[in-house]
Amino acid sequence: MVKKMLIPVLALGLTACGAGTGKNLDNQGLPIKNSEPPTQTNGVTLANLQQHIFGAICTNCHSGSNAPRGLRLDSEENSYAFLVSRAADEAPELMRVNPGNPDASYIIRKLEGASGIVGGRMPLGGPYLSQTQINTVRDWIANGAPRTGTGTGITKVSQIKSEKVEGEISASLHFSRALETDSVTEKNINLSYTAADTNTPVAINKFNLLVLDQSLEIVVPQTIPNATAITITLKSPNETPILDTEQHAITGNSDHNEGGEYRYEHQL
Amino acid sequence: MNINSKLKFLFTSALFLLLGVALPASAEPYLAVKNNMFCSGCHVNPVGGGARNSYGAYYGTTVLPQIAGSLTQFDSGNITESLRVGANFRANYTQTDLEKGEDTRTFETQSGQLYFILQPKDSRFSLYIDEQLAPGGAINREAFILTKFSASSSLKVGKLMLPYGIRLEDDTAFIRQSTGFNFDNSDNGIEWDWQKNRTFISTAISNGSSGLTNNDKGMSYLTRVEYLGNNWRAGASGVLNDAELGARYQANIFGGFNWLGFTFLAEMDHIKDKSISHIAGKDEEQRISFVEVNREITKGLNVKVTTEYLDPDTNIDENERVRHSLLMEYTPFANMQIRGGLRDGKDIPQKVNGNYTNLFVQMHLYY
Repeated sequence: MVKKMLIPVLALGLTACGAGTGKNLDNQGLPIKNSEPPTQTNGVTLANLQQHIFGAICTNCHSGSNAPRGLRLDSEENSYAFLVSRAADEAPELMRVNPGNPDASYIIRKLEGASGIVGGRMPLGGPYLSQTQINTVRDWIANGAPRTGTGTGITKVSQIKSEKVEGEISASLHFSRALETDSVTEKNINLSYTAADTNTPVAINKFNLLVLDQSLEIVVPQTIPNATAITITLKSPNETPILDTEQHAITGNSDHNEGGEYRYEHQL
Repeated sequence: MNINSKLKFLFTSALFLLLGVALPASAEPYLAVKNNMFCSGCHVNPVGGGARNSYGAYYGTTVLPQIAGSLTQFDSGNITESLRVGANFRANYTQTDLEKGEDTRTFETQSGQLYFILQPKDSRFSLYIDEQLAPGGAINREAFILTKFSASSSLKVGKLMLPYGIRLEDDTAFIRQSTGFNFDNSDNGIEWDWQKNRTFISTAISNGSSGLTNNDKGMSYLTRVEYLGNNWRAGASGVLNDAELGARYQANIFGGFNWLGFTFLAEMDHIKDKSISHIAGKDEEQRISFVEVNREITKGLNVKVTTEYLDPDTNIDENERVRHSLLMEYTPFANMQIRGGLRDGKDIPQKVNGNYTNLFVQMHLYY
């Protein structure tokens, strides 16, 4: 009986311990280093992602010499080396992180559980990351996936979601950096309905805008019953561009230059 | 989570449990302990998991379920004398409430596997394929050539889920997640299994990188020994992953026994990784433990309690994690199981996603 009970008793002894208090530890569970607090910047740094996502969550598995798929995320250096511009084992036609292009980055597809991924959504078995957490990864990639700093990529839409609820269409655009609120006006935005191959613009006093940090919410009632789609166009002309808080115009067409139109179509 | 959310969570949880939402059991190591057998008693793979052999199919048809399947219609999965198939499919409803953060509710396909075993007539060689078809695109979990030298000795070559400690189905268990030996992390290599009376020994050499190919000149070397006593078992595993970035050493002891109708399993692991150092001059060292207690309430209905502990780096204080689970596994009919339960995860307060309560209900088809 003593032999039988030995391992369970030892194991039970350890499991009887509770979780740590986290005293003097950072978000990764590592000792807090006495370094200068980072300067407030507009954008996401790899250091920030390492603190809150890669090091705090992903390293439950992706750590050490036999990390799954050979993907180590146990330090900033490793996260950058194993992610940025590296082909994904499961989908070699895609990069794990494609700088400047979150939608074409396999890590985003795995985190969001998008169709077309191979194997399960990450983190495997959950809890999955919230959309807010995923958006920080999106922002970092959209800004060029920089090794340090917030990157030189031009601010752009890094995610858009839209839906129709009770006769109103609402679209939520998430930008890779915070916007200068006053630079976003109805004049920068065109909305138009498509019905029977005819485009009907929506008057600027017929829709509402809300700019909050990195988000732009657009709400418009559906005024044309037989419309099949509504198109949202962000214009950023030289005279009155949409600006981020660093006073740089956003890029609409992802050509790595400021300016350009951004178009999105919501099917009704 | 506010009080209303907690009440709703508890109510929903209780409802599911009262409805008998619950559980399964194939590929569960507690069954091997309960029946005092090696995993090879029920599985084609000598070290367990995946496709069941004829006895495993018989056990799943007649012994495991509350209402036994028909013996006259017994289907062992043999398509021809040379081809055998099998399957597992698990669909979940999961609700996760974080102590701080966004709660989620979701239906999801956890996994869908197809197994193929091709063994030419009168041959000692066979091809074993474990293909995960869902969720997402297909991914190969295991694919190897199995060579039987004798009834007690075999060799596997190919993509393997290497034998290390207790082969739990749950890849998120600390002993499977942190060690890296789980169904989502198989490796390419060669494995020799040998059984003599009550002793089972496995040794393996693999890439150790878990990637499609090796990424350095180093290899991973593994040994696992298990001894089967009268109604109990004990074993140990050891791994040296000789990676160029820094070697990783892992070792564990594990065991199980039956006592007063309860089936106990336990494992303790120690990991040292020289490629990671959070404290200057000290390599990362992890300590993990796992205890599971099972009790068959009535035929086809098993209740399982597990408790887990993880110290992710023994050089750092106050960083430990724990996870406790209460699970029910109900097998009303052959090939169909309902599984469900509650898990409570606790991590340091800074790690938002590590502090959660999780309720899940799973429908599991096994063949």
